[in-house]
Parts: sequence; C-alpha cells; structure tokens
Amino acid sequence: MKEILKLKNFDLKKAGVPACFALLMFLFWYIMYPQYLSYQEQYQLFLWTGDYFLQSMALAGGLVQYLGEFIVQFYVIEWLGAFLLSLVFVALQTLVYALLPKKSVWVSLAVSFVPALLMLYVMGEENVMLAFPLSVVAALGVALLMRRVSIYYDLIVIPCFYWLIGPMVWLYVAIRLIQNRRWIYSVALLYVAAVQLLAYNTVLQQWPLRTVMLEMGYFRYADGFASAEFGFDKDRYELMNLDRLIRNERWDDVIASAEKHVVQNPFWSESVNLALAMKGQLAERQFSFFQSGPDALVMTMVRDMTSNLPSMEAFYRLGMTSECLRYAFDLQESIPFGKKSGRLTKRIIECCLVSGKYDVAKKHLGLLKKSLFYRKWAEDTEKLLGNEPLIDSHPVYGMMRQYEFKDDFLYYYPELAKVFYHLFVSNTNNRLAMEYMLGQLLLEGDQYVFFQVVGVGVQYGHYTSLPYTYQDAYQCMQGQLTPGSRYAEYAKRMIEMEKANDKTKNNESAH
Amino acid sequence: MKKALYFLLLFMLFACTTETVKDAVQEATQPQIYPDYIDVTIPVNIAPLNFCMTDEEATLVDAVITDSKGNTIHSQGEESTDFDLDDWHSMLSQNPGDSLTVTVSAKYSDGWHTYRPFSICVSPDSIDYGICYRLIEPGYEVWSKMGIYERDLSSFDERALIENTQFEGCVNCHSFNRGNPDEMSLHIRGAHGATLLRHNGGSFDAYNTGTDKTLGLCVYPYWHSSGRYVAYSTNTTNQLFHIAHHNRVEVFDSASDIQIYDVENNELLLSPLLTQDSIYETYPVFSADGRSLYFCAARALPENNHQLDSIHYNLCRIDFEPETGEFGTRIDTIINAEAQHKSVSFPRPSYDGRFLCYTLSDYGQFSIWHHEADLYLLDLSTGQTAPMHGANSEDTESYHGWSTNSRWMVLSSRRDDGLYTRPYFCHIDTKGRVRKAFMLPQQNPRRFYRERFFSFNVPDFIIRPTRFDGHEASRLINDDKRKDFGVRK
Repeated sequence: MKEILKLKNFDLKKAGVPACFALLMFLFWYIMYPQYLSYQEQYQLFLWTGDYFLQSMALAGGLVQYLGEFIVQFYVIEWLGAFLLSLVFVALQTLVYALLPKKSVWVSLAVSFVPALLMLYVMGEENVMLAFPLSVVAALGVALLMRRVSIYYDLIVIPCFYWLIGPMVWLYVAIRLIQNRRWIYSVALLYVAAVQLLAYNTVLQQWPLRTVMLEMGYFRYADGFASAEFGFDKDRYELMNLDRLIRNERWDDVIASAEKHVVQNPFWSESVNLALAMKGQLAERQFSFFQSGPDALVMTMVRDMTSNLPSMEAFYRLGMTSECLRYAFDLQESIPFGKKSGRLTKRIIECCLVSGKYDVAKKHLGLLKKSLFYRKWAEDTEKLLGNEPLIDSHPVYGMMRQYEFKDDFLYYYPELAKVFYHLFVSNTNNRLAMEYMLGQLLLEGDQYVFFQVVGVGVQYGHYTSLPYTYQDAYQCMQGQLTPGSRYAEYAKRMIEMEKANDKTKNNESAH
Repeated sequence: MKKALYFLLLFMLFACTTETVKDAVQEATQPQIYPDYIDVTIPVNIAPLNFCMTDEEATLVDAVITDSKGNTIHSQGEESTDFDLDDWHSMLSQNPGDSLTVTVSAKYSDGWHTYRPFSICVSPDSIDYGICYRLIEPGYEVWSKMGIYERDLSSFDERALIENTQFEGCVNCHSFNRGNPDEMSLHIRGAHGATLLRHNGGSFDAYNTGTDKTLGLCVYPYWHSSGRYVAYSTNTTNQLFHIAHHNRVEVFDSASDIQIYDVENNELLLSPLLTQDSIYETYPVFSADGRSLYFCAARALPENNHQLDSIHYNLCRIDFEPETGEFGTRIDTIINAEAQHKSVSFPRPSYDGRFLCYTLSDYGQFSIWHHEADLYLLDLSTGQTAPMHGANSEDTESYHGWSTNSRWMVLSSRRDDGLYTRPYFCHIDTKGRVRKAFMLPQQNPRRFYRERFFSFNVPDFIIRPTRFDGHEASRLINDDKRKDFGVRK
C-alpha cells in the first residue's frame, strides 16, 4: 500500500479504480434505476441503414447523436444497457484524470470523479440525451490526443469537430486554451462562434440560434436545459418504473410497487388500476389504492409523450383498437423532432393489423425491419398481413377483433362510462370492459346508473360474491357509511376538491 | 499507389456498367410498376418519372424510352430506374404533343422478363415551376416536426421554407396569388400565433387577424387576382373520433363565417349574408375575373345536436365589387349538394374562368378524412358537373389546385395506403377532359414514399422559388409584436 502511495505515475488500471467505478455505475443503473433505460429506449428507433446515418450526420452534433442512439438501442436488454452506460461514465472519469495535472495523484483522482458524478446528477433529468455525455467524452478525448499537436491544426479540427459533436466543441477549445496558455489561442473562441454562425446562416437555417450555439442534440426538447429538472426525483422515477413494468406486463410487480409508494396523479392511478384489472383484482381493490378522480382509469388526450401511456395500454387490453391506435399515434407524434419509437410503432402496427389496415401496417413494419431488436418481431408479424384466418386465431389479435365495437359512434371522453358500456355490450365476455364500466361509474359518482347496471355486471363477471369495491360503494351510496370505507374517503375527497374549485372560480369572478 | 488507383478505376467501371437484357421472357401484360405511370400525360418540363416494380422480387429493373423519331434513353437500377435529368428533359422537349413508348424489363431469380410496352404522352402544356406544401404526419390531435416546403417540379430538389423547429407551434394555410410568391399568406398557430402576409414582393408583416367584430382568427385564405384582397374564412373547428369506422376522424365547424381582407387599407370587409349564425360559411374563393366569391355553406346544426352526417355544404356564390369592396345582395346556390345528401368542399375555379373543381363527400367539409371523397369538375359555361375519373381513385381525393395556365391540377390523394397523402397531377384540356393522374416523381419512389412518414398537405403551385427567409420569419414569429386587422365600418 505504501508503495502505491509513493508511485509518481499512478497507474489507475493497476489500482482497479475504473473497474470499481464501472461496477458502481452498472449497479446504479441496473439495480436502482433500470426504468431510466426503458424510458430512453422506448422513445427512439435506431435504424441500421445508410440513410439513417446520413440523416444524423446532416446536422451539427450528428455523430454523437448517432452514437448515443446506437448505444441506447441496447437498453432493451437492461444489463447490457447498464453496462454500456457505465462505460461512458468510466470514460469520462478516466479522461478527466488523464487531463488533470498530477502534482498530487490522490487529489487529481478525487477531482476526476466530480465531473462524472455531476454528469450523473444531470442525467437524472431523463430528457438529457446520451449525446450530451458522449460529446463531453469526445471533447476530452480529442483534447488529450491533440495536446502535443500544434494549435494551427485546430483551424481544421474545430469546424469538423463542431459538426461531429456539436456545441461541446467549446469545451475542447477551453481545454486547448488551458493546455497552450498562449493568448493567441483565445482567437479560437471567436473562430468557434464564427463557425457556428456560418452554420446557422447556411446549413442549419431551420434551427434557432441558441440551439445551434449551445444545445444541438443534447436535450430532447427545443427549450433546452432551461426547463430541465436534474436529479432522480422519487415520484418521477416511480412513474417511469410503473410504465416499464406495464410494458413488460409485470402486473404483480406493479401492484407490489404501488403498495409501497403512492404518487397522487392520474398516471399512477391508471397504471395501478390496469394491473389490478389484469390480475382480476380491480373489482375487489380499486379504492384500496389512490384514485385520482374520473381520470383514474383512462385519461383524456394530453399533448406529451408520456401521460397517455397507461391509457393506451388499457385501450389495447380492452380491445378498443381505434382508441389505442389514436393514443399510440399521438404519443409518438409527441416525441420531439419527429423521432420514432419502437414500442409505439409496434403498437400502431398491431392496431392496424387488427383493424385490417394492412398497407399502413406494412409501411410501419418496413421501419421496424431496419432495427435490431424489433426486426424479428416485424418479420414474423409481416406474415399475418392479409391472412384473416391467422389473425382471427391469434391469441391476442383474434381476441381484440372479437372485443371490437360492433356499431360505430363518435368517442366522447366525458361519457367514458357509456363508451365502456357499449364495449361490454359488444361482447359480454369482455370482463375488463365490464369492470372498467363499473369502475368508471364509481369514479364519476354516478350512483343512478351504477345501481342499474351493477347487477348485470356482477352476473357476467361470474363473481362468487359481490366484490368488496361494489359492496362498499353500494353501501356508501345508500347512506350506510361503514368505518374505514374506502369509497367514502374517495367521495369525500372529490366533494372537497369540487368545493375548492368552486371557491376558486368565485374568487376569480369576484375580482 | 498506382495499384490502388487502378483498382479504384476498375471498381468505378464496374459500378457504372449495366447488365444487358437478354433471353428475356416476353410477357403479354404491361408491367406492374410503382408509381403507376402507365398511359399518363405529363408536362414537358416535369422531372423524370422514375419507377420500380410493384413486387419486391425484382433484382434489376430496366427501362428504355423511345420516341417516334427513334431516339432513346435508357436506365437500369436495382431498386428503381434513375433517368439522367438532362437526357430526360431533352427527350421531353423534343416531343411535345407526342407519345413516348416505355419498354420495361425486370430481372427475377429465373431471369429477365420483358413486358408489353406502355405509353407516356407528353403534353405541350408546361407546368408551373414548383409546388409548395406542408409536410405533417397524419395524426389526430398532436404534431411533431412539420414545416412548409417547396419542390422544383423539373428536378427532385425540395427545400424547407420554415420548420417548426424554429418556434413553438404549427404552421399552415400557406397561400399564393395565382402561384406568385410575391403575394403570400401563412398562418402560425400556438403560443406565437400570427398571420404572415407579404404583398407586392415586400417583406413579411405579422398580423393578429382576430377582431371583436368577427368570430375569430382568419383561417382558409384565397387571394384576389388583383392582389388587393384576400378572402378568409373564420372557423370554430372541432374534431371527434370514430370508435369503429374506416373514417378515423371527423373535423367539423361549430361556427364559421367569411370575410375579405383589404390588404391596402388593412381592414376586413364583412357582409351580413356571409356571417349568418344559422349558416356555416367557409372556403371562400374568388372567381377568375374577381367579380364573384364562391364559397361553401351549410345549415348549422341546432345546439346540442351532434348529427355530423347531416351537415351538407352547398356551393354558393355572391357578387363582389373589387373597385369598392362591396358584396352583392343575393346568394346563389350553384350546386345543391344537400339535395343529393352530399357535401361540397374546396371549390377552386380555374384561372381561365372555364371550370371550377370541387371535392364531393358524403357530408361535412374536411374531406381528407373521408375515404369516399372525390373530385368533380363544374363547367362554368354550361353548368354541367361530372366526376373527374382520371383524377379519382377508390380512396380519398381532396385538396387540389390549378396551375397558372389552367391546364394542370395538383391534387391530394390517399390512394397509396389510405392514410398518407401524396400529391398527384392530372392534365385537363380546354374541353374538360381529365387525363390519368400521376404521382409526384421522386428519384427513388419506393424508398422515398415508403420511408417518408409525412403527408403532403395543401399542395399548391408556385411560379418561381419563394425566396422565403426562414430566419426573418422566425424573428417575426418569436417577437410578439403584431399589427391588428381593422374592420371597415
């Protein structure tokens, strides 16, 4: 140990520091935050085509964006994604250490972890793209390679580097400035700005100036880091985890997670209710979990790429193909800059298949066939196109066809209970539709209709006894308040919310 | 080094050579090609009509085009033909009014197959410089990337005018005065909403088009030939979704009116006949001589009535005095679609005053979502109307526009797959005969149209490049200063 401390040229590899750090990072992502990996992967679709590469390279920062998406596609295998991501952090730490002066090896080593840990904090904001840390790694790596190369080569390196890694070229220039300590090199700062302005006025004309100068490709949204919320917010990550579990149909895990952590919002309620329904527990336990309100089963359209995910999944399992397709399509449309999603494209294809829109399904299948992890599924699914007997006998698609609405009408969210009723009437074997219908009536507090249909629902649900939720609600509606009544708690909360809303409206009109 | 160069040259040589079509099976049928360019009529200045085999089994597709004088051009490719641009234009310019014969051969696993030749007729009527359109995915309530683009019809060049990467919101309803981009109107919706107007080739101004005398913002535009006026509708638009119907979406107005904007005096001209509460007035267009205003009108639904399939728009007309900006005192019904339980939308008079093209669907006015929507041609001199068989298909035909010489039409069609709108062109002669429509050509059509997930929205002709400064427009949009529309008393 004393010998190691005395070593002038401290050898990181021999000390195993990078390996330990890699392991820590791997465990961090794989054990603590695997939902991050699922979230990132589902909002992109990396294509193994020359056109996709050229499309990426047509923008500044294209190479790091391309590499970032290349790596993210592997997140579908969680351990592999965690491993690759940990390598990025190790690379960051190693390069920082290599660039730091070594007056005190231990101080340099300690300091070298700071950027990596800061980056970890920054990447807790799930809309920071992998291109961001990759661009930092690239800037550090090239600065390290170029430290003994004449600064005059930067006349060529800077514009090329800007095109490859984007605005992070500023970091490269800053490091070179520190390395060279020649005042003349400060001209490079002006040179970078000039290169960017030239790009802005020529090949990047459709992008805002701020994006071209500072953020190209590093953040998912156009407003850049201004709207970012760094760190690993517990509620946000719980919701991401629920979505990951739903995506993988791990219903028991959804319920188990919900029993430990409650997030009081519709996304959470919808996710939990779907899991309960899939496990046949909705009728018994719906109000044992937080219900956000009449939107606790299905939400109206919200213009972002996440909020409607549980509703889309619910529609899919209910057999509401048109609504599932609509939500999946608009969820994908909500991904900024026209990016595609493997998960959502798959769902669009399935809905088109069920509803006989084979041309549109084929078009989307063509896309998935160019990916790595969706290709096999796409090739298998392509065989179903136009093959009615095969689709009808498919365990999922056949069932969805049987559950489809028999008669057309216009979907109207405020009458959701009625929509579920029509779905149930279309096929009384659709138990999910029945439970959603009764559940929605309870959420809306529509006791009149509830009393009319609960008997029919119970009959078709083949319950051995009246499920607790219906029992509790029935008694509550009859005025027989039992202590600990979950439905009464919900009803009371809804009434208080309504009063508070009315009060706010009155206050506003009073002014 | 020499060896490397030698191998490079050899490689380039092999890359450029084509395979000779030999021992081909002679097929009695014409080839199945995509896009379907068989027996179409094309303008003399259109880009090459590259095509591929409809099936994806062919490893090579070979095409020889021959004119009546024996001149030929040839192209062979793995995915599609790729005619040389100059050779193509030379062939067309030498054959106005004549037919070209296209002989297609395709190589399959069992060898070459040569098909019965088909014709392409070259019209002596040229087509305008280009088209301008919006690209947007055919979504429901949300959009991602979108923008306005122009395309040179004699080549494959496409250029973005403005994309919504530059601002938060959407861009729509681009409109030109008879294809002249010196007079242009464009709407921006969202947080930085505005109408951008350019007049007489000047710079753009950003307007707030809503007033306290009108229903809301100006929507569907149409320029008066003088450039002095722009007809707008103002619409309260909603949409609902079918739960189990092949028509996915219903877009409908719960209120709409018509107004004319006087560009020179910055004021809206209103008429009580065009702002009736009991009528939905929309899609105003000026006649070729500018002395009439055509529009669509339907009886408004009673309150709380959502029988959307009972809304039938007729084609109507009212006089207009361009000198004074005064409206006539009477509305004429030109096509009573209501009586046929049909509905008219997108009336478009030809610029020579001869015809009026419109879309007919079962009900409503947003026909792009109606698979049964077709184009009809009204002969303004005889009053006869007939479906445009050459333009129509089994699926949606909707928005359309005339070229400035009134001989070509660009139309929106969903015949490819029922969802993604593509632009088609058809020739209409002086007698109203409509030739078979052809799809906008692309360098590699299968790859382009398969891999493009955007719909072509509101394709309109332009007579030259728009010279649209996206940066300047973005500055205008993001700066919240707006000029207000006035209202003539």
